[in-house]
Amino acid sequence: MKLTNFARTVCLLPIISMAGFFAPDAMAAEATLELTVDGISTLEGQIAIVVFADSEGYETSSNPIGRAMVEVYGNTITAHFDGLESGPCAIKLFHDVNNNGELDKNLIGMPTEPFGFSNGAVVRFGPPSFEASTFTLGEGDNRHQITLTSMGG
Amino acid sequence: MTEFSRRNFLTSSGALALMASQLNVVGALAGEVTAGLSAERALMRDIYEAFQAAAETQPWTRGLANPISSRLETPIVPIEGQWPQEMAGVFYRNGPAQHERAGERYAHWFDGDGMIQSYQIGDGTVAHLGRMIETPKYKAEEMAGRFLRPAFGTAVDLQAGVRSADDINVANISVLPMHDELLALWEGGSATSMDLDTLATNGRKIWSAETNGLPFSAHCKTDPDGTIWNFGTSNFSGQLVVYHISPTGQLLNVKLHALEPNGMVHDFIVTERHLIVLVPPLRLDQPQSTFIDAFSWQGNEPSAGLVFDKETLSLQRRFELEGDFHFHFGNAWEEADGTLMFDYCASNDASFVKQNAQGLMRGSYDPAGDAPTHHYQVTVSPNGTGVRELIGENAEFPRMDPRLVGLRNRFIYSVWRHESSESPFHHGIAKVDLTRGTRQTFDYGSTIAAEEHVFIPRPGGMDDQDGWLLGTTLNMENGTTSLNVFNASHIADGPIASARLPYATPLGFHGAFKQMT
Repeated sequence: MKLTNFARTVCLLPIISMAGFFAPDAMAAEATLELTVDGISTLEGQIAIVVFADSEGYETSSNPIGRAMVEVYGNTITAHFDGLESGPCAIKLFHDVNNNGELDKNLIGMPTEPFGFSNGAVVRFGPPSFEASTFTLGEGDNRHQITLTSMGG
Repeated sequence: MTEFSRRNFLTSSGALALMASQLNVVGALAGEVTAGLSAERALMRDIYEAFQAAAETQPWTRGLANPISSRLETPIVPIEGQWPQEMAGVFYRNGPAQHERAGERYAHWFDGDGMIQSYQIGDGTVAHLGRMIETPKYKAEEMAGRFLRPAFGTAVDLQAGVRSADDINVANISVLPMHDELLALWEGGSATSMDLDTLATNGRKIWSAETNGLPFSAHCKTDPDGTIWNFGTSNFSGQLVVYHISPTGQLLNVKLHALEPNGMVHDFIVTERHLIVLVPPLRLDQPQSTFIDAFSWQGNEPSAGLVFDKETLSLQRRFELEGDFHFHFGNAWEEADGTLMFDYCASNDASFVKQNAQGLMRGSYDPAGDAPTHHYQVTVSPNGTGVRELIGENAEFPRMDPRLVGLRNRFIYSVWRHESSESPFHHGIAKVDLTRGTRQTFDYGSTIAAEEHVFIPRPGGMDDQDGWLLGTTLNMENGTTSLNVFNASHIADGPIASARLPYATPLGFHGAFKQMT
């Protein structure tokens, strides 16, 4: 993946909401998610989190099933999502250290603020694919953990 | 792989599937290989064994061995001859040093983690201190006791997560001594800041938010007034960045350009008003398991010259030159009518970087397979045609008087070797008088490997041979490294003094002298 695409796929809209969306499909079971984000090294700013259920949404950062902006209050924060559906789930997040609502990047599009992907997905000169980031939400309560990482070096 | 990954494997619902597909990596974490040796690891073991065997009969292999320790120190280096009393300052050198770990050896000479050698010179004495550069990669691999991440010419582990070039930064090519820090220079990513005296590593050098993590080449050029110019290339994104930095280290201007054509660029030159980047016909081709393998030699293509204006950092013009593979330039200047002059060392193909440097790591050297390097002076006319003229043979590491960077210089110094030498390394130095078209050489002899020699002007010296030539040599028979000083006006007389260390330092690339103020 080109580095120039990196920021585009991770950049998020500045939405301040702790609520997820209700799924209209009656067949899927209800699920909640408690997401722990750790590895926060600067006690400033907020963690911007977006949750997707399909690859198109994930790749284009659109139609999320949940999103949150959580003010950093410690080296670990927790975000709670209700009203999700069981099924595939992929999360992208970043630490908006300077509160400008954007993932800051260098001149060639590499992020200069910490970021994270679900499912322990590994970054290799670019964001991981939907497949690498996806885990499965089961019916009822779910827990997941993401540790922030930064560009490298 | 970090601690979090292991926890995540054990708690997330995708853990089992992921674990199966990344068994090699999990096995490495647990300290044992559960799925058998990968092809990449087996190759590194094979290279290690081949080198061990060759080391028994080939003295030149000493130049590519690991240092005997990650920290080397000799407070008072024994000196033969009379060291010039007026020379005061520190000579720093950089080069790949950690070539092997745990029975595995890298495939390419350029891979190993960098080590800085510092020689403190004053009052006719020399002190030596050498330390490994503690990049994040080096620290992670020291802890793990084995190589973890890919290198320039070795894949190591195809599963390794590499977030950016700085994750594999080995900082191993050159140095830039600044007022209150020493920069260890690489080219794929950031410079690394170190302490000038203790050689402790401070961390990645960040010039500004928008240049954080951008590639910063090993060959920045410092104008006579102290202004620093540099470039960086990001081949996979096809970009070239140019930097303008003040004498006190403030980033004044930076500009991004398309890297067209997309080739391997290692060095560049500056004139009074321009920056000149020359892209050889070693072009980015298909992604492969290593960085160097992604490039292919296009011998019939020309080298492409790009000329940038210093004021604006914008591209002003292009020129073409007969294609060859070059690493290093000496100097450049511009005539009143816009003619550009510069010198460089080049071979007719890229066989050294693509094959021979891998052979050396196995302990293999075949003199017949060597591509000799020619030292050329180039004239680029104002209308854009470039012509090369041969000024020396079998030369490399051209250096000149730092007070004349971007201005017309008369003398250019280099290392040199016999075409038929049985050692892969240089064993002498050369000095070309560009005005008279003459050349002088000094031969250290066949047991010696000579590294880059730098010109140090005598304080108050009147021209670019009034001063000293300073450089290190490795004695391949007894495994010791010496620092040698010549009177630059009479290099044929040999060194006026040599300071001999009781150990060898791994053969390195580039250095710089920081004058004591």
